[in-house]
Amino acid sequence: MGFTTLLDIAGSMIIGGILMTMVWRLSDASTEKTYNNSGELTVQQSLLTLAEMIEFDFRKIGYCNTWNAIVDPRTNSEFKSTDAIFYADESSMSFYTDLYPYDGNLDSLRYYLGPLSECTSTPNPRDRILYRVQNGDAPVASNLGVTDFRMVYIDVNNDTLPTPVINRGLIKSIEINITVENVAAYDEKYTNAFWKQIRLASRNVSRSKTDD
Amino acid sequence: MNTGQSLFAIGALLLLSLTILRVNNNILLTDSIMIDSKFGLIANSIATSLIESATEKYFDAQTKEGPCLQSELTYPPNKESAETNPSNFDDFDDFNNYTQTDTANSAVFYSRCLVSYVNPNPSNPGSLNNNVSTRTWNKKLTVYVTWRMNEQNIGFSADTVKQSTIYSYWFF
Repeated sequence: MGFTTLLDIAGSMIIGGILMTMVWRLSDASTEKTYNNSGELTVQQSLLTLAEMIEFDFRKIGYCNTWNAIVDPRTNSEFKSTDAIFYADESSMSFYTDLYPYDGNLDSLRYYLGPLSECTSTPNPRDRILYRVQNGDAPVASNLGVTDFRMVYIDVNNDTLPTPVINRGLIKSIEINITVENVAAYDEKYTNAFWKQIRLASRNVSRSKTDD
Repeated sequence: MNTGQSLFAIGALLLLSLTILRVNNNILLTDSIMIDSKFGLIANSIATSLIESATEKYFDAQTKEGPCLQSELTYPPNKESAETNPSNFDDFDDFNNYTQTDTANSAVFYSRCLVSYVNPNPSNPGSLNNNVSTRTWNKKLTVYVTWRMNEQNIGFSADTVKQSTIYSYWFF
């Protein structure tokens, strides 16, 4: 073999190496993007599911199918709509509403965010479980990657009420902030999506303010 | 390397380059769609927030103290002086021509609200889309939110989120 042949072999090895590196990087980038985009899609779908569920439930705070015969389940006396929310904290809220099958009997509903320690098995260190408890039954939940579920309670003067809210009859609107992240991600590059400030002015609760 | 081999090598490099360009193009396109989708969620939440905020208010400045005659309703829908933002708005049509700017995820979201009277006809659902130039007991709020354009172009961008609601007055 002459010097030219050796030069050809060395050159082709260098060019081949560069090409191999390009193909490897391309494959790596494709894999990463596939994971990240699937994760992003999951995050957005989870957030949408949560937002729809919360909006559906929270809009019916204080609602009852038979509005003229509402009985307070705690006292069996006439129900006051100002008592519709019976616990209001930053990441937890309990209220009365009439759930399916809309039989006219008030049901209690509680939303709360579980502790960080519950999700230690997932790679994401920030995800927590959002629970929904209906009538004191076993909590229903699934890990959708909620990292933030925070509520701000606002009174008729647009002032923020300190939590836990003592006088829940003052609540006129509720500002809800939800952030969802992947429970696992490629190279720990977690993506997030958030639902910024849904202000749900529950008509049933708002109306109770004007009755005062 | 003879000429044939060189041509093969060049052809292979060309194919590889095209493949890489296509893959990069697809990656960037998917990223762009994902970001738009995420911003769409935020835009929807902003529009929902504005609608919720508006439906908290009185139907009209004239109905704050009680019922009024239809002829006494505010026309055209507009805000009164000194009303600048939802915290000091007191009635639904104060939101007419109200604009708002929000920043989230490093993106700027521009919102614009339009309020008009509508005269719903149960036998013609399309009547909900027709603004009327007379006072009625039904007002329609349309909220436009965009993150691509500036304030002047709200409602004209293809990516504008549009939500609307009808607010009616009832007195028992």
